[in-house]
Amino acid sequence: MIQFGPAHVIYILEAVRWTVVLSLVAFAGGAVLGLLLALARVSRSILLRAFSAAYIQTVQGTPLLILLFLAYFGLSLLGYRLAPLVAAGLALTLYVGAFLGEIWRGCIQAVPRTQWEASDCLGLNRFQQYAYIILPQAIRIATPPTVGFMVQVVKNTSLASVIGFVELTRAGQIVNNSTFQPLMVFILVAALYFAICYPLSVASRALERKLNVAR
Amino acid sequence: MAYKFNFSFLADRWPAFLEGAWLTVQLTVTSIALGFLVGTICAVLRVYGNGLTRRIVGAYVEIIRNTPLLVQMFIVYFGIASLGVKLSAEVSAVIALVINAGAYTTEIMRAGIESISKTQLEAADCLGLSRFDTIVHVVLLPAMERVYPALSSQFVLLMLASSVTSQISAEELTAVANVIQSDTYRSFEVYLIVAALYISLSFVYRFLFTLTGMILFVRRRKLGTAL
Amino acid sequence: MKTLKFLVLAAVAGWTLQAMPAQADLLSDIKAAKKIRISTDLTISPYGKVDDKMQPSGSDVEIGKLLAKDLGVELELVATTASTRIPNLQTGKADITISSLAITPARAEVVDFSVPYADQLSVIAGPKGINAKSIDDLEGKKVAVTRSTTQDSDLTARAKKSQIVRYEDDATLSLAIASGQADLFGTAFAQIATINAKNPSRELEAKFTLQTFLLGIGVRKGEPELLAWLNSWVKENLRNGKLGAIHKTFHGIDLAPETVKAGFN
Repeated sequence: MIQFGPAHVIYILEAVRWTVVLSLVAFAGGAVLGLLLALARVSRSILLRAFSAAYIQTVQGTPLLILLFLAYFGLSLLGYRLAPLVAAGLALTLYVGAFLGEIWRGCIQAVPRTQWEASDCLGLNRFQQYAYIILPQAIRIATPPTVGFMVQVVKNTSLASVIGFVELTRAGQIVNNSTFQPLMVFILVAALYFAICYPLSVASRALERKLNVAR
Repeated sequence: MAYKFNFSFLADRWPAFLEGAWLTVQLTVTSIALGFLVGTICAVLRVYGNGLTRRIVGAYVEIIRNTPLLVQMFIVYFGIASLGVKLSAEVSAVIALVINAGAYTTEIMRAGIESISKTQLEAADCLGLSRFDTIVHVVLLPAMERVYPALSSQFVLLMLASSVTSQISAEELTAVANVIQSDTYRSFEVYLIVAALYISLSFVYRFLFTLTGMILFVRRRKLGTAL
Repeated sequence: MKTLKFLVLAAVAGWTLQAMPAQADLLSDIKAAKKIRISTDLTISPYGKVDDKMQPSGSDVEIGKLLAKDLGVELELVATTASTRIPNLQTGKADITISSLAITPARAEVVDFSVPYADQLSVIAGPKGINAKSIDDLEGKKVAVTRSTTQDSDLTARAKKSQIVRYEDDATLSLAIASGQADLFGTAFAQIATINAKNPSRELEAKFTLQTFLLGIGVRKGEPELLAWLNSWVKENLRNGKLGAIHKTFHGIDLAPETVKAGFN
């Protein structure tokens, strides 16, 4: 009989690095895609708006588990063999991008119309309007919900176990099925997620407060 | 080597998929309704309550939002059972989902309530509205209107996340899919069907949320102005 | 009803996809690479688990080690979850799967199985006080199983009047038994001892045998050379008793006679 011991705790602790790496990849890729999607959503071209809206609706309705499965196994079937980290990065980027795109669209639109009009009057072109006037203001509005969503992403990286990553949740499952002490294992796992996510939440709220004061 | 897609198992199994999807709908609709109620009450307590209730609600929101739903589900299902009260998997699943949805709703509604200008409250005071009427009519409905997109997104996410209830033996869509997959080994086919079903469900949910929004927020529709 | 069924069938019939590039025979590839990639799920103790030093262990893992040694190649274990054992195989991310796969006709349409290399004695178990001698005694009762296992499909097909409650993995099943969410459960015989050791107060015992499932090594379709090599390797190691010894170490019982017989066919 295997007892739950220090080796198991270390194993679970080590798995945290995959949770962190996957979260970072998800955020980096998702931020780039999300920005493009947000801009497409508020673009003047009806085609871009329709396409980005359809993309966001579809991806937001698809379970992340299935995106991960299709990116790793599905593409492989079509002849594109991606390394696990690349496949996970791809799926997470597609997923996070869809959510950030929608969140950021709201933030861009929350910048008062008068700001657009004023920058029009100054003769700024579309790029300059975004770069100097709109985005700096939108980013301030966007920070709290973005960080809030990241907390959910951190927890969702657990689904990457489907393509072989032994991250925090999967490590917990493996230890659990060898030691049969689920409550102890899962409380440890929950505590570790809390340790990663809580600072993010606190930061999110601190930023929110700061922004309210600035207004 | 060519992989041959073969969906012939659907001939026998499609009722099982539909049953699973139906349970997903039942679990999530109940949890969304109750979760919204819990969350709204907590949000009001969080903003207008005294120091103690604020702190309790704050702790509730932080603990739930920063830990995985799976663990919350385990604690409700097994924790309560070891106290001697046996709840069915479905009831436990709903309780855990309500606790989870409630925490997210609290946070979203709180942001909405805080965005209501003070002048609105002062105006309500002048009109002689009671505290309760002020909160319901002057604060909550406009607050909800402002955060409605965030709220409906969160509820669609909850629908997708409800797949973890399969772990405590609720026979919802994901659970059904896992069984069929293991019987037939047709993983690709099963995943594609499940993806299509979840996407369809999420479109239906979004449509219903938009419809509800149009009914609830008549003012906006009539005037055609953004807030 | 009938029309719908027909439509579904018509819509999906014969949809094929040219997918994997043509490959040389997998057995030669493995030998050339000097490495065999075996996928195993490490959450189905005692077939696949981790030991107290967090190293992969269990009967399937030991069998994989022995197989790699006899083939003269290095072993690479591919971590998998229960639901991705087969996709890993189909997409060439693993060469073979040794992960307590029970051989069934429906599954054999999708992957090839070697001759049985081990088996799983499936039983109904429960606390001492409860009386159950056959499937009929389960009528109207709640019976817990681990989802997607052979016990699950077996009971779903045969015990139609029982309420089957399915948990995601053995550890969750064990917790359900310990916390009293369920009394009777279908499981592999070897599990009873494991669950008893954690929850001595429940005094669990095997009530009756459901069935003995034969387990095969999973291979992608269209690899006759590899399959032939595996078959002869399994038979040889059933005859010389090595597979039986591994089974006894991890499961505490001998292989079933029908499994051993496969070695002499």
